[in-house]
Amino acid sequence: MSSAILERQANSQGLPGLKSFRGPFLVLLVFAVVIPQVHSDYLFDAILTPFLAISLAALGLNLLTGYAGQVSLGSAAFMAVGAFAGYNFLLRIPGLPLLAGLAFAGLTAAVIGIVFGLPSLRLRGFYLAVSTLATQFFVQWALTNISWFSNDDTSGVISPPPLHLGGFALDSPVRRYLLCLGVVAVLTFLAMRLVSGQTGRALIAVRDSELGARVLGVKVLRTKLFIFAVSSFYIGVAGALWSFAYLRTIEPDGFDLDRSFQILFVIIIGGLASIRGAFLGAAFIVVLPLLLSRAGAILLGPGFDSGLVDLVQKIFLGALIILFLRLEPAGLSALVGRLRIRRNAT
Amino acid sequence: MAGAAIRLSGVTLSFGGILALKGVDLDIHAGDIHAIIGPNGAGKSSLVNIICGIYRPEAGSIDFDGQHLSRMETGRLAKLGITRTFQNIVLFKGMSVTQNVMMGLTHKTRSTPWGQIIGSARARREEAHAYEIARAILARLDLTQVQDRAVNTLSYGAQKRVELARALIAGPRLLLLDEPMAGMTAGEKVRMIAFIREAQAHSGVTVILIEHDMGVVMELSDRITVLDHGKRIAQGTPSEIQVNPDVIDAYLGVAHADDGDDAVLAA
Repeated sequence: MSSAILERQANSQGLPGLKSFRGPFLVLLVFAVVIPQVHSDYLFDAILTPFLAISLAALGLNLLTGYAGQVSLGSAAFMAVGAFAGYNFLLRIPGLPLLAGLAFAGLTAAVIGIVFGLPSLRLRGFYLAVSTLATQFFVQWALTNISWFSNDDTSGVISPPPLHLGGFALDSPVRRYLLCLGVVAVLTFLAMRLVSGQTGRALIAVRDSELGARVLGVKVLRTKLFIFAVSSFYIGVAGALWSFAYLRTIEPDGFDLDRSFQILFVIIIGGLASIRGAFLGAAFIVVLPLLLSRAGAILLGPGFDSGLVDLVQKIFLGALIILFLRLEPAGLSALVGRLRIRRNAT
Repeated sequence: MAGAAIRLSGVTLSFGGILALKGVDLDIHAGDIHAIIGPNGAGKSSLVNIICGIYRPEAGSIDFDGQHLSRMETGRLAKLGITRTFQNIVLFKGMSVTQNVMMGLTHKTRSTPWGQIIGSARARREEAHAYEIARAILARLDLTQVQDRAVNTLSYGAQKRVELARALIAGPRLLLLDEPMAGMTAGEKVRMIAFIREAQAHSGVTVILIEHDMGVVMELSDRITVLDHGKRIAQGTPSEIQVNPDVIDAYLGVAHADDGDDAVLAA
């Protein structure tokens, strides 16, 4: 049994090895078939859709930070690039299918990601993190001050076009949720495949020892720029989903430094270098506060002071995070992995 | 693949005005196990780092396998058939033992990331091949029992062997071993010597060995180069080196006379 734990540890730190896709597929089935039977707009609009968008952004950041070891504080900037690029592509190319718009949103973010990933060729750790702040501030500044990006709209808050998939209007919370689920499922599958092969090993090698990787013939610079591009693609698509399917408005303000930190916390809580960690962390960071405020509303009855609940909720969440990092630094993913081993052992 | 010869001529290197290597010549024959020895600070590691392209020599040149190079490039080492182990173990702690060893085949990868994602025929073939020969080399180095473990859970000696396996998997022509026995128990050293011998006999690889344990050096080496204060003071077979007066002086006459090496040398 101890060797099973050790094996699991090796895997949880990076690679799923030769594991099958059965577990994730069953989870997907539940989310795609069972959950849509629930009749609650609140569940889809306020919980599951933002959960999926943040999960996808966290997955993108985890590829970059968890697997390849390149710390970034610019995730929200890439979300903003994705959101605005998707908006502009769909606006300016009439008849462009939605999925193509999302792909272009991701590709635009990928190009920006390569540009702002260039400092990673020289900088590491904290220094790189600080340089990614430049992305954060520059992108927000550009999107706020260059009115072409928002189609010269003076209100500062623009609406995405109506969403269609083929001839199918995505006009209900469940349908928008299913769009997110489909996109996230496909991209998650691709990410799982990516990290389980030679490229995934090269990412971890660059993270664990650049010198060791270089000596073995890993093209370190190319690998870094590649993963900046892939990561930014994922985060860009996540930003587009966040704006189009969840907020249904597009504005730079929602993509501030707080959002970047939120996504970083998601992968730290969920587990670095773990695909499922992105989802577990997103559930913790995005869904738990919503549940807490709901619980607060129910417990305190009508007429409660929402400001107070907000405060209590923040304290509670903060305490949970500290407690959690103290007890389980490898994240929720490692916790789940251990629970599963224990269950299999008994 | 047979081993390759490497020759360094007049290599000079300095750090901030301090000369680390002064016009060092090094002539290593194909298929030899060639030890480089010398007291601490003699320039052994500098020499290895020049061969690995980590330092750029200020003067001198390198001939590797008939190619004349003014300097080596770290990123091209694997392609040239040069692999190494490190004095301070450099393994990828986020991976299993097998995955670490598979990394030794990086430079032979032809499949693209996209090919790996969609599982192209080439990607699957490469992955299966890498996995298979990694398992084979781990079996040869007696690491089968730990092959699926996270590499950082292994003992120090076993980690050194994983590094050796990773360096051997691609069938190198020149293998640099930077203190492969450091920190090992006597029993582990005996096994490591056997593994290096076996690897050398198996493929005819040229080995450059940096090692402080004179017993190991004398037992393994075909030829020995002795450095002191950045200069080559002797080169020859173990029996020649043992009786070389300059070498004895270097070891007895400097501050390192008390570390036991001299006793072994004299023996």
